Parts: sequence; C-alpha cells; structure tokens
Amino acid sequence: MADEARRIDAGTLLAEIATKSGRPAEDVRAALTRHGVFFRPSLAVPKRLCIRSLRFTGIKQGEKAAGPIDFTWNDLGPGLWAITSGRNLRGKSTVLGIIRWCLNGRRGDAVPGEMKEWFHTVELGFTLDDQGYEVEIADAIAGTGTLWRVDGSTKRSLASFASEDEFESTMSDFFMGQLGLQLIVSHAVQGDRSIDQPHDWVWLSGALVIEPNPTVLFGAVATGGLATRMMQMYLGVPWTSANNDIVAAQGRLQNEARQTTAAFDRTRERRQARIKELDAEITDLQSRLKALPLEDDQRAELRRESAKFAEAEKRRRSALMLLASIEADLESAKDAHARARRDLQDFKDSRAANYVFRSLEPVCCPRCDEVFDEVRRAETRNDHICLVCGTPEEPEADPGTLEESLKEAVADAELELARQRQRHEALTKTIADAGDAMDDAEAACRVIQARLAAPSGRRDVEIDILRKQAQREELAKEDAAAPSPNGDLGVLKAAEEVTKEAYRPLQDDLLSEVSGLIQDYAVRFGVESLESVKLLGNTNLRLHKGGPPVYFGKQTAGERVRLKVAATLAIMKVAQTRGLGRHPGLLLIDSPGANEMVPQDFDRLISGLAELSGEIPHLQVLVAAVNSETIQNHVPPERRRSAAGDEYLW
Amino acid sequence: MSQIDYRRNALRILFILVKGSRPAPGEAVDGFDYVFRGETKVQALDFWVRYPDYLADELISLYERTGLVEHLTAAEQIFANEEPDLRRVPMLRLYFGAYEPLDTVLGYLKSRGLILPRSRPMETGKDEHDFLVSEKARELIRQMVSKVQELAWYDQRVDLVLKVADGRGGYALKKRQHEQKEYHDAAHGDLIPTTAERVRRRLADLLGRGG
Repeated sequence: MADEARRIDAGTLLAEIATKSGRPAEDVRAALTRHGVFFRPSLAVPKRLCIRSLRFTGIKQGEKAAGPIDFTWNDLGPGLWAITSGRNLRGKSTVLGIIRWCLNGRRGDAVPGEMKEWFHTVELGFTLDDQGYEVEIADAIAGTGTLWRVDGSTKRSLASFASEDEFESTMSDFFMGQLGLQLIVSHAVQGDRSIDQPHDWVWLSGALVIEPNPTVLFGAVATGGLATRMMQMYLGVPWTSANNDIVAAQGRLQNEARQTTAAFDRTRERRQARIKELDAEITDLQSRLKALPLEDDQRAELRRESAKFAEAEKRRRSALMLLASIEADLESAKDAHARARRDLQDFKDSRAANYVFRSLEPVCCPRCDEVFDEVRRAETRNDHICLVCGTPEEPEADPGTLEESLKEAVADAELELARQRQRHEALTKTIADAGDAMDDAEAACRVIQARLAAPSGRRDVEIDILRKQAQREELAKEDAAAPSPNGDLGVLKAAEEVTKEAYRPLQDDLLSEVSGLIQDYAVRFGVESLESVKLLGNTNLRLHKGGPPVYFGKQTAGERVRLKVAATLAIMKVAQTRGLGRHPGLLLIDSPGANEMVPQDFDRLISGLAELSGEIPHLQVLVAAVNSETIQNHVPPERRRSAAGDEYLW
Repeated sequence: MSQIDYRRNALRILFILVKGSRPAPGEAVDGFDYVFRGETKVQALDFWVRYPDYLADELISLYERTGLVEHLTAAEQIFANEEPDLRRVPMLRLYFGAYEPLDTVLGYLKSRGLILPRSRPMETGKDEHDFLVSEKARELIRQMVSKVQELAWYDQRVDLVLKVADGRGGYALKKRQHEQKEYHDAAHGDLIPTTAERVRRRLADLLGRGG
C-alpha cells in the first residue's frame, strides 16, 4: 500500500484535479498556488531524537531550599529513563519542562513563572539519528543562546538567538526541517474576520508529551481537527499537508463569500428601494414626456391650421365675390318692397283724394270760369256724363280689389325682401365666420410657430429618462450579480476529493495497523477487558469493552494516559516498520502516578514501557514519577535521577 | 301708378295753398278771402313734401344751426316711418329746379271753387302767380282731415314744411334747395334723385350710431 501511495506523484494529482474540476491544468496549478496549496512529495525519512545530556545552573530563590542550582544529567540514551522523587513537588516535572523548553524554545507552563529568574544557563545535548546537537541557553532570563551542531569534540553554531521569540523560531525551523514536518495552517473565523492560524513545531512537539490528565489522543489541543493533522503527520500519510492547506483555503474562501454575500444583502435593500424610486421617477418623466408636444405633431398641426386658414380664406373670397350680386338682389328686393308699399300708399292717398274730389261737384269750367247752372247739372246727371266735359261716367272700379292686390304685392315683396335679407345675412355671416376662422387659424399658427421656435423641453426630459434608465439598469445588474462563489472553490473542492482519494487507502491501512497495536499495547499497559480498538480518521479512539462501544474521552484519566501512550507508541512502531512516520521517538511522560491510576496499573504501564523500549530500539522514554517499587523494579538505577525522601532533585 | 294721379296732386297742392295762405289784403273776391303768393314757392314747398329726404336734410341743418332737438326728432321720425321710400313722389328737374306744371291740378281746384289762380304783373315784366283760397277750401280741409285718416299726414307734413320754410319766399327756398348737390346736379328733364342714404348717414352720425 505504501508503494502504491508513493507512486502517485504531484503531477498525477494535478491532472486528476483538472479533470474533476473541468479546468485546464495550468488554471488548477495557478489556483492552488494562489491559495497556498502545494503538493510536495514530503515523505521524509524519519529521524530519531534522543536526549543525551541536560545541565542547568542558577540560583534557587524562596524560603525553602534556596541556593545555587547546578543540575547535570549525562550519558542519556534510548530506552526507559525515570526521574523520581520521594515526594511530589520536588522538581520532576520541571526537569521534563526544561527539556521541552530547550526543544521548542518556549518556556511555557512546564517551567513555572515564579522560577523564571532561578535558571541562568541551560544546556541540552541531543542526537537526531547519529548527529549530535546542543542547545545552549547562555542567558536564560534574556533568552539568548546558541544551537550547536556537535561533531565529536567540535561544535559548530547553527543559529544564535537573542530573545525568547528568536529562540522559539530557531528551534521550530530546526526541527521542522530536520524531521520533514510541515507547517499546518488552520483557518478560523472570529466574528466576521477570517483568521489563518499557523501551527509549527511548538504545537507539533506536543506529540512528545504525555501529560497527567490528557484530553486528546495526540498533542495537547483538541480543536479544529489539529489532532487529526498531527496524527496524519506522525503517521507519515502523504499529501495530508496539501489537504490541510486545501481545507484551510476553502474555509478562507467560504468566509470571504459569506462576508461578500452579507455585504451584498446589506446593500440589496437600499438598492431595491432606489430601483423602485427610479421606476417611479421614470414613469413620471414618461408621462410628462407624453404630455409634451412632439415637433412632428406640431408641424402637422401647423399644416392643418394653415390649411384651415387657406380654406377659410377661399370661403371668404368666394362669399365676397357673391356679396355684390346678393347685395344687388337685396337692394332690388328693398326697392321692390318700397315700391309695392309706395304703390299701396299712393293708392290710399289716391283713394282719399278721390273721396275728396268726388264729394265736390264742379261749380265752373276750369278753363273759361263759366259757372254751371242747375239745368246743365240735371242734364249731365241724367245722362251720366261729366258736368264739365261731357265724358260718359264710368262705373267706379271696385277699389277693394285693387287694394287687395296691392297689399298682396306688398306681402310678396316683403317675403322676397326677407328672403334676400336672409341670403344677405347668411352670406355676411359666412364672410364673418370665415374671417373669424382665418383669425383663429392665424392665431393658432402663431402659437405653434412660437412653440416650435422655443425649446420644447422634450429633449431634457428624454435625457433625464435615459440617465435614470441607465442608473436603474446598472443597479439591476448589480442586484442580479449576486456574488458568485469564487471559481477557485471548485478547484479546491476537486483537489480535496482527489487528495483524500490519494491518501485515504494508505491512511485506512495505517490506521488499521495502528489500531491493532494500540489494542496490544493498551492491554499490556493494563487496560482490562479491551476487546477491540479502532483508531478513527478523526483521531477518536473507539473501544469495545464487552458492551456498546465507548470512546477515549469517556475513559478515566489513568486509562486515558495509558491509551495515549499506547497510541503514540503504536504510531512510532508502525512508522518504524513502514519507514514512513516522522515521530522522532522521544516520549516525555509526566507523573502518571499523580492521577487516579492504581499502583497495579502504573506498574503495568512502566513494565510495558520497559518491555517496549526493547522492541522499539530507538525509543527514548523519560518518565517523571514519585519513587516507587515499580520504578525500581523496571528502571535500573543508572537510568534514574532520584531524590529520596524530602530531597529536591535540584 | 305710372299714370299721373292728378287728384292726389291736387289734394297735396290744396293743402299747401290752404295752409300756406294768409288773409287776402284788400277787396275780397266772391268767397276767396285768403291768398297764397307765388307759384315758385308752391313748387319749392311741394318739393319738400314730395322728397322727405331733402326735408330731413334741411331739418338736420336747422338742428345744427339752432340746436333745437325737435328738428332732429322730426328728421329721425321721417326715416323711422321710411318716408323717403314710401312718400316720395318724384319731380322733374327743369330750368329753375324742381318743377311740375300745375295747370291740371289747378283746374281741379278751380272748377270746385276752391282755388282761384290770379296773375299779377311784376315790375320785371313777368307775371307773378298768386292763388286765392276760398273759405270753402279751408272748410273742406278741416272736415276732410277729421274724416279721412290718410289726410292727416298731408296736414301735418305741410305744417312742418311751412315751418322749415319759415316764411321764406319762393326764390329763397329754391336757392336753398339748389344748395343740395344732388338737386342741383340733376340733369334737365331728369327726376331729381333721392339723397336718402346720405341723409340717413348724416343723421346716424349725429345720433352717434354707425352707418
């Protein structure tokens, strides 16, 4: 299986990611690089760390046992070593703490704060495989010192540090490089901030420590899948670093997307209100525009009015032409009417005159003035002839008939006159109306022409509408363009799947093997009635103890210590047999007896460790514990630093 | 009525002669106790009776000269009654102006014992014609006006004309009538034209009305 895993190289993985994400290989490479994901074939050959010597000096302060410190422990090597005292609080944990301080450059909790000023110099000699090194803290208070490479009697400085921070980074760089470990970046979201948390050697070196009351199986921190990462790294599962980077990058992108979406949602409401507002404004402007006259319409109207003018003028002209003849007709009718009435008047006058003169008999001849005598009167009367001229009298025509006909003539003339007046009035009205129509049309033309000459305001409104429509369109586009997930997410997702596929079979295989060993070791360490153990990919440990499965976290502190030691050793063992893992083979076990572990169980742990030290040749285990028979039985005196009774170790 | 209606003319002349006459001085001739002097004056007065438009014009001039509104009212009345159309009896323009031979008319009047024409030799060598008016004529007019409605107009009109003439003699009146352009310019032998439209305008202008 290991061979199979090795056969998969970075190029193959990239090609598979490209296929899965449907993106060109160069895009995939660029996307991964952009997000700090690198596929490095980091299957470093495991190196073995072994503490060789420890010396520290200083002045112990306080009321009890104050005085100079000068602790030296030489000739350490692989196998089980014990630091014991007759009583607790005699400096055992501090010795382990100082070792951890030297190894990771951070003083930490292992060296209590009140002792900060006590230590002046510290020197830790260790080997990685066969190469000797020495950490020399020249001024423990200031944190200055040197990391030496030791070849026989020659020491060469690898790095110097002038502060605690520099010391930490010096040691981190050294061990990460030497052990082929990779920085693990986890991604976390705090509030709405995306935070990348790098985890280096200080964290990874947690795997070297078994604390008295462990809560996690690997390392000291239980959050964010870090235990899994630590396990994978020490197991030597390939591509897990890349996988870790991929997961972190996805977290970053998802958080970014979340924030962008949140920001987008915050502005959406404002944007939509503005869109609504713009819609209303546009509608308003459009109705205003509709109300404004179109130039073409106005020109058409002008033409219509001009035509009206021309038509009215024509009407007026022809009426005027007709006027003369109608006036003539009217005059004739007036004349005829006057004549008829005059005739009637004449008739009446004449009748009156007749009446007057008929009543007067002539008395004499108008010519010769001869007065007519009575005889002549009688004769002419009898003869019905005129007294004057002898003309026979004619019977009087009936004046009534004549008057009637004259009256009829007057009535006819009146009718005709009325008719002609009507005609004349109608024509006059036509002329006046046509004149009015001409005036109206002319006025209308003037108004339209003035309107045409003046700026219509249409253009301004049109421009306003266009501008608002553009604004609206822009906003709608913005609104429609909800932030799309970063395209790289697809690549990262594909990368995660491909990478998991690449390491999962090997990891499953390794976990299965480790699980078997854990069970073996745990039993040897005295965990009773353990039927089976399964180490899960998430570092949880599932136990069967004759009933439903139980988990690591629910075990007693003593069992947790033993299970944790078993698991760590199992990983080291598998690493050793497979030549894969990177655990350096050093284990610092602090005061296992301080918890609730019964002496029998403690005995089983120590004896088991002694036994296993033989099975895993490079394993170095330093146990800090209260002095006991168990220790004395399983750890030879030369492998012990002990303080008897009330004595202090240093 | 193209035929000359002598009786009507006679009646009109009778009114003029009766109303324009004054008691005859000196010895009266058989019941003819009044006298109207001068045929020219008869013609001149007759012209104003026959042409109400000319009369109205004269009335307007009188109004303008005297400021007496009654003249203006009388002129207005003439037009209101359409007299220039209805009452006009056209006259000929002869040598000295409007003239119509009175022989026939006078025959009517004389034969009825109403008027007695008399000639009176003048210093100029020409005869002046006077008209004696009988009491019978005056009585006849009085009776007829009350009997026959149509005659009231003649009665009043002749009064008005006499008032306008204001005792002027025939020549003075003729002279006055010649001052009317239309009258004066009428060709010899033509009917004297009407001035109705001009006078109507003149009247309207005075009354402050258009046209």
